[in-house]
Amino acid sequence: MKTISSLAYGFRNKFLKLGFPWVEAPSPIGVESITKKNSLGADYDTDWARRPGARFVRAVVVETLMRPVMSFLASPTREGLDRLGNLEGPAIFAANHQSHADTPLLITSIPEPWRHELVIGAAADYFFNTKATSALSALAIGAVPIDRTKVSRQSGDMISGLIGEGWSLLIYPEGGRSPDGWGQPFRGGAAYLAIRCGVPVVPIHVSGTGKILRKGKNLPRRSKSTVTFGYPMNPEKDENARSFSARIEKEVRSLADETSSSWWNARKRAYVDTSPSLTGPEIGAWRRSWALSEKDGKTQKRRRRWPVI
Amino acid sequence: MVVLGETPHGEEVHFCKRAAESDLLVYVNINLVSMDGGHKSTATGLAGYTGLRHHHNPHTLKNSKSIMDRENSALHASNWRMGDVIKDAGVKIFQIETTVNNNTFGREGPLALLQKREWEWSARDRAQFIAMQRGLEILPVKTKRSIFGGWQSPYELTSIQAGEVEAVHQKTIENVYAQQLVQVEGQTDILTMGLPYICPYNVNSIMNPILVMCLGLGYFFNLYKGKPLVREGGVLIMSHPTPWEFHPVHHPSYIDFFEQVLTETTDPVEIEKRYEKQFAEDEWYIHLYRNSYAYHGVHPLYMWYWGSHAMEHLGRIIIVGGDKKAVNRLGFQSASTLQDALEIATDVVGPQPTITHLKTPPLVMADVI
Repeated sequence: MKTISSLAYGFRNKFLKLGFPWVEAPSPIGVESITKKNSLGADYDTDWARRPGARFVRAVVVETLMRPVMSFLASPTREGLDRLGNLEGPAIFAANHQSHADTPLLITSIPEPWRHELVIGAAADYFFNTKATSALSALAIGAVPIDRTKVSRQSGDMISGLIGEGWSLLIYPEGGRSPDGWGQPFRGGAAYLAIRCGVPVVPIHVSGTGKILRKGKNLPRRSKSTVTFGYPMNPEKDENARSFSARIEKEVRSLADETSSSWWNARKRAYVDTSPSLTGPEIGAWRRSWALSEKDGKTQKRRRRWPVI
Repeated sequence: MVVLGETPHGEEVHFCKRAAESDLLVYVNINLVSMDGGHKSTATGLAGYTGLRHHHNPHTLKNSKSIMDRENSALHASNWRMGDVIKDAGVKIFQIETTVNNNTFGREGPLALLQKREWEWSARDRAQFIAMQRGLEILPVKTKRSIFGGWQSPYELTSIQAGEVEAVHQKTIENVYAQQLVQVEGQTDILTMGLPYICPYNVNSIMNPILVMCLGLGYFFNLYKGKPLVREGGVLIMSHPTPWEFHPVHHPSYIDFFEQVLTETTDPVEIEKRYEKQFAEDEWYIHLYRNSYAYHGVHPLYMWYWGSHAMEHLGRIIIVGGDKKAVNRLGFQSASTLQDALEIATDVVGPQPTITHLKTPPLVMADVI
């Protein structure tokens, strides 16, 4: 019986035999070929994904596929939407990041009018490394590439341009998914863009998605999740990106506290700056793992060693 | 028309009376190729048949090697002699010559891929080409012509020269050469070229078989300086549909030339001797030329002479993808595919020929060393 790979190989050979223009024409000997412009990674042009046709497709995908799937997998509770009552115009939504499930959950949680005027800052080296993943990311979630491996003005310029055109941005200031369930320190990108573009940052805390599809897992499982929106934050006069970023991180920490305890207690702790850390204790990996299970209130039950007589 | 004089070679200079009597003649030109401009603009452009016959004849054109290289073109030498007579007669000419870049199909847009080199086509370009090819297969000919004929090239100016004719033309030629001249090492056994859908004489019209011949053998073959791209006795393979089709309003005398003259002979010298006067002085053609939208009666013969040098130089001429009967009428061989054409060519140039392909656009002029 033919395997899938041998079938694919045969198909590829047949396709190659079709020759030009079905396959690429070879460069003639002696002719210096021009260096091909890199069109992947941070150079990937996502303009096409913001045209009406692509936006329509994305809206259909979000409402008919993503929303029911996330309802089934994440049973989300959405808190704090009333805090966006006075928000007008484009904004930067900054959330903690535990899992690939965060993006579909947030896209279906962020209310109108921002939901369908939203671009997602996605890692250029992960989501835009092949043509297929680039196209899929740009079309399905409205991703735009952000270079996280090198310092470049390109991504910043591009996103500033989009915010200037009225698009809102969803960004994960941690720069990637949590490797062990604990959060990571916030980077300054969201704060820098907010100051540069003069738009507010909406802090968001997402909990529970780490159990749905945590880093390293391929298959999702069901779990409850909570999305908590904070009040839009504006940079203060003369505030720099570093200190504004620290404020955003503190606010997300407080939202996490609110999710796990109560609004009143979370506010009290935020006031005296004693909100529990998102990044966990600075101890060995196995102890961090224990600490996480304690934080989730899910310690291993003592196994009964003897039968009940 | 007025006669302004005669050159030392006995060439009568006929000139448009209105232009000759003007205080100042301002001539504006676009030099797409190096053949255009200079004294040829006025000595040819404002002359009638009696003046033109001195240089638009098989003898002159066979000795223009090439018509794109002014220094080695008998056609230009004759025009320059006539230019001197025009100058001596007191006609004041203010010549404005311009050159444009080679941006025929734009850097972006539906036809941009046609001016890229095939090995630089992206997957999108190739998909677009396949779609274009399939679309053109099903579209009616008239629609196809209107699509391509309606294309406006986004050319940009590269230079403007103005003033005295020869000084201006010298500078213009330098600018054209700077853009188009490409050094090519050695001549080839087989020269292949794809012919475009348009030539100077089928704007909003039909590219009939005679114009196909003129574009390939008259213009593209002559895009050289020094030596032709293909060796003497070599083979020229051109690709063009070459339909047996004529525009009855624009090209009436072409129909008669194709039906009556080419069935008798394809030799330019013989054609000149036996048919030129008849076509040039035919009352009906003159009437259509003056009162309708027809080219002059003698025009198809001039088109044929334009290929004289190539026909004399080449061992065989093959058209790929053309109407077989029309191609045979031209005296050429037809082939269905390039592979077949190369097989036919081996009869002339042997089994291991060298092949050079002239890719257009962009327009290039070969400096064969």
